[in-house]
Amino acid sequence: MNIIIEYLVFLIATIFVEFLALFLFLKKKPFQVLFYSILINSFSLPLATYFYQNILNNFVFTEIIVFLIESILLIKLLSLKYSKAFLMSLVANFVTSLISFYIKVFT
Amino acid sequence: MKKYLILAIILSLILIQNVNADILPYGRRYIESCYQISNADNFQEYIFILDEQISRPKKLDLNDCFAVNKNGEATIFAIKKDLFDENEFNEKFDKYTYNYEDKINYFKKPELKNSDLNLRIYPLPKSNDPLRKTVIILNIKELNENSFTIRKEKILFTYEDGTSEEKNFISQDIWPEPSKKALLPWWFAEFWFAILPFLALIIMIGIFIYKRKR
Repeated sequence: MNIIIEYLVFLIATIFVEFLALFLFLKKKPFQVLFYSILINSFSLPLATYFYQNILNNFVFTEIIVFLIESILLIKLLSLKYSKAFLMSLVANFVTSLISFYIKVFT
Repeated sequence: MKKYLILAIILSLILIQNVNADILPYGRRYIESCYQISNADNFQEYIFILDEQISRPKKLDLNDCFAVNKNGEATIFAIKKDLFDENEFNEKFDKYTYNYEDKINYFKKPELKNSDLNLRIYPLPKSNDPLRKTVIILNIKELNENSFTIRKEKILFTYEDGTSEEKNFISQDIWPEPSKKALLPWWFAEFWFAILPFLALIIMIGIFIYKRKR
């Protein structure tokens, strides 16, 4: 697959999977949650890719940083409690990490 | 609100740090690039002078890697040590008094042998290429009363991750290509790594400010 399409497909897939995970927790305002998922992932995924490719080639550490940044963004955007935001971010990022790990290892 | 504004300014400054006053082709960047003569020790009776089109000539220290100006060609001249007048050279090519006509006349001297090779900087890599530095190794093939022949022998590429590789020149007119190249086209890399996260952040800051005001 063309590398540009590969990057874009991965972004769209991440947005969609994280949206589903967030929406399962919130169960309200699907369009707002989708919009925030687009914003959060458009910010975190490119920077995480850069960090992983150029700064520290460590998948777990990169995912931890992404989880922390996304938690803070969720708190700010959705006015959530810290515990709920951290849990949502943990679940959303765990699912996307599993998928990317699967793609990395098995494809 | 103030802290979001400060954050936005800092991010803008980071993202536009590559603005360059020179005429740098869009999507390209400057890297460190220099030349080194591999067998200069065999010609210790000579002084080597680098003459560049748009700057003052300079005496080469052959232990150092020397750079050429990015906007033009350069030629190496050789002169026997006993024929070289260092005071005259320093006087003529003084930073403040140097003039172009003096240079033209100086290089007409018969004791100065000019090499057959024109030196240029290594072609500018794409802005997202992982190349950090190039060292071009020159080899003096012949230096005597009648001729001064230099050949580009090999090139040492150093990458951003600290690794390096060496490639030989197959032809004098064709630059060897580095093996490591950017995965993404430069325009997509700029969009992906800078524009997209920056836009997302700006919109999120806008939302934070809006929510706070409400």
